[in-house]
Amino acid sequence: MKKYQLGEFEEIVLLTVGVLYGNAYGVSIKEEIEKRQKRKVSVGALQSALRRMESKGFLDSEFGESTKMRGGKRKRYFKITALGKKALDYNMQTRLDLWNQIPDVAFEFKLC
Amino acid sequence: MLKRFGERLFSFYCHPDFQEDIKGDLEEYYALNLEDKGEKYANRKFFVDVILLFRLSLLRDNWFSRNSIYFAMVKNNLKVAYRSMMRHKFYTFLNLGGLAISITACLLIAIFVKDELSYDRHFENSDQIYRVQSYLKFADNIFDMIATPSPMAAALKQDYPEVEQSGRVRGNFSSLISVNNQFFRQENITYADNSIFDIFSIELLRGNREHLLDEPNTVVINRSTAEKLFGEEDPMGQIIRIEGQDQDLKITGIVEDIRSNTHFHFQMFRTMLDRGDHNQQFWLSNNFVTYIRLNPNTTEEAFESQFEGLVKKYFAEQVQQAVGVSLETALASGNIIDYSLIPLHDIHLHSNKDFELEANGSVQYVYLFSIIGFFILLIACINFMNMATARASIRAKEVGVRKVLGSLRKQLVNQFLTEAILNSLLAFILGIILTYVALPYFNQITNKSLVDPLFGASGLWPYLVVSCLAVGILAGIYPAFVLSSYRPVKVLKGEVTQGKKASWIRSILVVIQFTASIFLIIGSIIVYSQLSYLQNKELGFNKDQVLIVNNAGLLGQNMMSFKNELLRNPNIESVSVSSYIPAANIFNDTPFVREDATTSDEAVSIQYWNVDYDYAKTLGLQITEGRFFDREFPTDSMGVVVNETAARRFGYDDPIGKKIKPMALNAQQAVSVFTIIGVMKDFHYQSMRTDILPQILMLRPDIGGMSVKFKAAATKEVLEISEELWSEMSGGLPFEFDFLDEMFARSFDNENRIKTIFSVLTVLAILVASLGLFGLAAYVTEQRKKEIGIRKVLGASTIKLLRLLFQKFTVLVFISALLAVPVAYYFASDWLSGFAYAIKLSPVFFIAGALGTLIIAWMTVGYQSLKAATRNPIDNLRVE
Repeated sequence: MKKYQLGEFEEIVLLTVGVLYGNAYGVSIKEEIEKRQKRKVSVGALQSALRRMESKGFLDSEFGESTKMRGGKRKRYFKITALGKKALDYNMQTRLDLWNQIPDVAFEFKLC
Repeated sequence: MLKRFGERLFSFYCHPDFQEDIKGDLEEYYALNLEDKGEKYANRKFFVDVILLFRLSLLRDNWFSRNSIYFAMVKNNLKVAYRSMMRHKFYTFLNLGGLAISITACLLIAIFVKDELSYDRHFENSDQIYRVQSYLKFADNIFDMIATPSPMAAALKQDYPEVEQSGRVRGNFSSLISVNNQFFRQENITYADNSIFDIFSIELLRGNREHLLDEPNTVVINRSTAEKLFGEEDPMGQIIRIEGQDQDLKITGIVEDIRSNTHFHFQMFRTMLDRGDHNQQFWLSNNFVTYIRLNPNTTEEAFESQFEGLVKKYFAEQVQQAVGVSLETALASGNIIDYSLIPLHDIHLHSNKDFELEANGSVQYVYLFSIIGFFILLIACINFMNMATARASIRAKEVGVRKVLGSLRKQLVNQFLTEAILNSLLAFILGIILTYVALPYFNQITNKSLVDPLFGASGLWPYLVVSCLAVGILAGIYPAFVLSSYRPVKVLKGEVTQGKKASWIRSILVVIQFTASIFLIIGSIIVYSQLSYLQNKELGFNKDQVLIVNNAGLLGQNMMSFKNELLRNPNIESVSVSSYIPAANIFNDTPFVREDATTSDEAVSIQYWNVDYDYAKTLGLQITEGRFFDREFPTDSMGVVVNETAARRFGYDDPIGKKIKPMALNAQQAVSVFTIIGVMKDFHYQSMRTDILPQILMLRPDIGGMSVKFKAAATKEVLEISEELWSEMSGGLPFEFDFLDEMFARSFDNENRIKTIFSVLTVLAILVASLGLFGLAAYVTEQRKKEIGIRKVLGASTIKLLRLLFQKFTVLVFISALLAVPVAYYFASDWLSGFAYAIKLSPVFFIAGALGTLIIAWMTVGYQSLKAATRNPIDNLRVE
């Protein structure tokens, strides 16, 4: 379903936002993904993924506190919406379905 | 620094809603990086992140996002335009066809004009290169020519530091050459100074730049000649033999072929050192073409003023010697010695002097064709406007509904403009295809060899895009404003403004079209009659059934027996040996005076030709007084036959028996005196553009060529027998021949080209105008369908109905004729004044032009009108 379309990177960002519940803003999300996935994340890719998902309705955001380190600028905290949850469920389910459909014999790797 | 710039950049492009928190994030990363990796890295990283943040989803409100509605509208407009075009296929066809044809014509003209304007500009420093030209007048003889004295080039370089380089060429002739006993006819040979390659940057493919032509018996040839003569072999150092001169030339260099847009196309440069007169210090004979390159800081005018000093310095002594008076006295008594410069860029289009190396173009034609091209395009645009406004009623309802639904006028204008531009785009695509289809014929007619003038290197394509839009807007702007101005209430209530208000504007547009058409028709009638007048004018000699055998002199001792053998054939009437053949562009000029002349002021510049006894008979010259040379009079070797002009110029009322002599170059020179034994009728021995000059014939052996007069209908036989005899006696030399009438026809190549181009353009213009008129007539008749039906029911005859329908167009054609005739008259008399022999401008031309247009208009309108007038009235009236 087109409605729940999620890219691979988008899915990871969405999941990470869920993991960091209550503390999900740009820097923390980036650090979390880099730590867990051991991959480099560019600010541009992350930010555009976040805004894109927000406009799709998978994410919601609000301004939070500011710190001195940020030059007095506020953080924007993200959280998953109900629709975002559905999208994650849908994605997970379709993958699971596919996984379950694989016949056992396909995984029987023999030296031949 | 980098960070500040990055921040600025980010604020510039990022959407304001996202700016605060992303900037905060960036600051945070910056602080972290600063701690971990130092300031430099942090700065750099900050900037890189800013660049990577440039994403579509993060951009601020911009021109694209704000205007996306318009893009959607353009799409919609295109769809509407396409549908309306498909709904009226006939009108679409007329519009597109007319526009495409006119665009093709315009493109071809543009290609022509661009090529004409590009002449000689490809040489390096071409803006510093000049040719020296002379204007000389002594007694009644005027020379306006490109030839200059032999020492001119050297003197200019030596005396004036402004002259960076100077060099000479002489002649542009063809010759029979041989390489390893194989014969070739080689065209475009010239004598050249070594320095000519310093002036013109002709690419040198082989050879040493410094030593190309600096030794006797050397020659430089171009690439295609090298390929022709030697094929795969290495041409360097090979020997070329010039037949008839017994000279062997060593090839010292190969140059690239000279580009077609150059005012000369030499293929072979012989060294000037082979000419005996190359170092002659004689200033009163002008035979060399001198080119100079000035340094960039010198202007043409500044340098030209120096020539006066040059003339004083070098001419004084020699003038004194030659004519016995001082230079000052000679100049004071009305003689002129004037040298000037012409920039290299101007030579092709602006120079038309005596002895040009090749026939040049003419700026007159460049202007003329540009104007015609513009007219043709204008006519097509007018067609489009006319059709659009005339058919306004069809679109009126659409406009009304759109307005009621909230369309702004601006949007409607956009819609109609889009339609026009779409039309013009399609027409351009068609036009470009047609242009490439027509290109081979174009090359043939214009004698050019253009391959890919539109999209190739330095092609015209950037202009295409601009002119496509311009034509679309020009043709669409007026209908767009008219159509979009309709009041929706009126239109929807049925009070259709049947395009009546615009009717007078339409009339004006039709008048403009017809004015242009009539102008072109009159123009082509005049061009046509002038050129056929020249070609059919009484030449004064017989050009038919004359075979010219080239290089007869190469037969040597066998020549006379060749002649006698020919004469034994009953089909051959007479044979004359002389290389002086009319139309062959041979000139041999020298001043003569009457025997009793006392001053040099009486000198007459004379073309003197060496002929034999049979010359008059072979060429059919008419002797009006006295007689031609005759073998029975041994004294004829000191006799001359003069033409009527010469007799007049010498001032002899009864010239037979009077004596003339060549003017002595100095007092010591002894000259022989000749007796006039006959007067011949003037005959046209050179281009018909110039007057017939004084000419005398002398009985002197001249073994260059042979003319053979034969009986009609024996062409093939005579050719066969001549060739057979030739191969028997020549020992392998190729038989080269020509027919006098064909040579003469070829001398009109240029004029014929112009004639063809002009006629083609005229036909195109009339075709386009007729297409438009046809559409307009179809529409008008359609509009008056009911009126015609009612009139017919009430008893009007077909003739009366036709008259009714023709009336308006006839009036319009008359108004156009009134406008076009004076303009055409002005241009025609201007053009004709360039000819020595011109037709008189009779009113017939103008009446024929106007009538022709009227007839074409009637025929165009006639079909529609006749259809409407003969139709059963019930068909016209029943439909509601």
